[in-house]
Amino acid sequence: MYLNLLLGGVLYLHLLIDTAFAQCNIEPLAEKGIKNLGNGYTFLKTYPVSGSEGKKYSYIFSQGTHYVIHLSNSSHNSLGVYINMYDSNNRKIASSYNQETNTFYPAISFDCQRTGIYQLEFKFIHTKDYCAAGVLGMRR
Amino acid sequence: MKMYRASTNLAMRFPSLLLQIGMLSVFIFLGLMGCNGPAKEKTGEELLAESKNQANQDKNQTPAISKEVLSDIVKSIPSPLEISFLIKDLGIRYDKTILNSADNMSNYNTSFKQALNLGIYSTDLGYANIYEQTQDALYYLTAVKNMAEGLKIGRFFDFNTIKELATKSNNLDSLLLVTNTNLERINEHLQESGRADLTILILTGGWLEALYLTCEVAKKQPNELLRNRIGEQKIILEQLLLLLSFYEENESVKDLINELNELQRIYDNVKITYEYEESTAEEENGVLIVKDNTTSKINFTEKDLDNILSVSQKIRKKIIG
Repeated sequence: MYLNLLLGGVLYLHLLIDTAFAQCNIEPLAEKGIKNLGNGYTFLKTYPVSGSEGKKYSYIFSQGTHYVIHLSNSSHNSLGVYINMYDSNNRKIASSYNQETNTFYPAISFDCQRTGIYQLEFKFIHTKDYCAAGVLGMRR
Repeated sequence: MKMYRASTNLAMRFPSLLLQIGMLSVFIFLGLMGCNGPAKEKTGEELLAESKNQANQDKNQTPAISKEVLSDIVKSIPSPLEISFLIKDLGIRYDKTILNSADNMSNYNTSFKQALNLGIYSTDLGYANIYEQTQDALYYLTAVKNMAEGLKIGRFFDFNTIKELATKSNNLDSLLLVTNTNLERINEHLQESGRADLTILILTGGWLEALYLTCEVAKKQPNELLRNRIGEQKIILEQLLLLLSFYEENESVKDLINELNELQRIYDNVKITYEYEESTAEEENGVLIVKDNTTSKINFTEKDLDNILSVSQKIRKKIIG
């Protein structure tokens, strides 16, 4: 029994080390996001997101262009990962997570009316899975 | 008996052993978090500003740009495909004569020229692909491959797959996807292997070619959308010049910066004003549809436009010559 417990402890340690060392494999997540872009959209960029803090990126969106950002993680509907969009004056434009209803939107479709640098803040909430990918596409 | 005693000892020592394992786990975990856990995230602009300050403090040191900053700024630069799509969407006919001839590829023997022209040929390849000009696309694909091999990054370019997709019809999405992911991999590899300067040159070449194509098209068929798009390039030029400034110790880069500075001086006359209005959002089939209602106005004179055309043409001519 003690041996079992000892093995259990070692296994626990092993799992902890494994978790800490586990690589966030972006490629399959990006591929999933790209598939979700669908017909009529052209892939532009991949945004890897790993670590509990999330990640901020920026992109120069162009006036008159229709963009879409798809989020993907290991869950079916991108639960636990979301994106906040800010304009160049740091004004929040949108969030793919509705805190009031606890709803995660797996994609944001964005109709750009002015060219400028926008901030894309990828965040995690209510999850321990800190590995996700954002995929940016434009509508043709 | 001995075994029993050993077990007893083990039994007596077990809680302490578990405690030690637990503590060890916690230490290892905290240690790893300490090593890998990121500090508070900063935006690309903040990081860029920090790096820029550092670079200004000591110009003689190697470029003070972190991989993180570079990666963020590189990702912020729009794909030249966006402009090519705009040109096609406006119903403007494909014009091969404005592209850089792939026959010139043998003239590019330095990594500086190869990187810039890899960017230029990539834009031309995207343009030909969008118009589904298979023969030209293959022609530019060869040029891109040649430049990539010269820079020892040819293995990241899946030539055979792209060639196969380019020769089949109705494969535009897949073709652009493979081409874009390949170029993304090339950029990532260059950044990882400490050759970020080449990434910036590839981006600059790609951007300059897209600007040049837009200018040439706008000259022949004046259009408000194209004109605005040319004016908006002011924002991207600023970003590129910031990135290039980290490598200005290199004489070739310095010359390029000087030429782009001339273009920037013209762009100083381009005024972009914004009228803020709150964004709106609604859900449609599980997707959040967002509309940024803030609008922008871009003002510049015809003379400014002519100057942008001639200076961008001059810079490009030097690069492709």
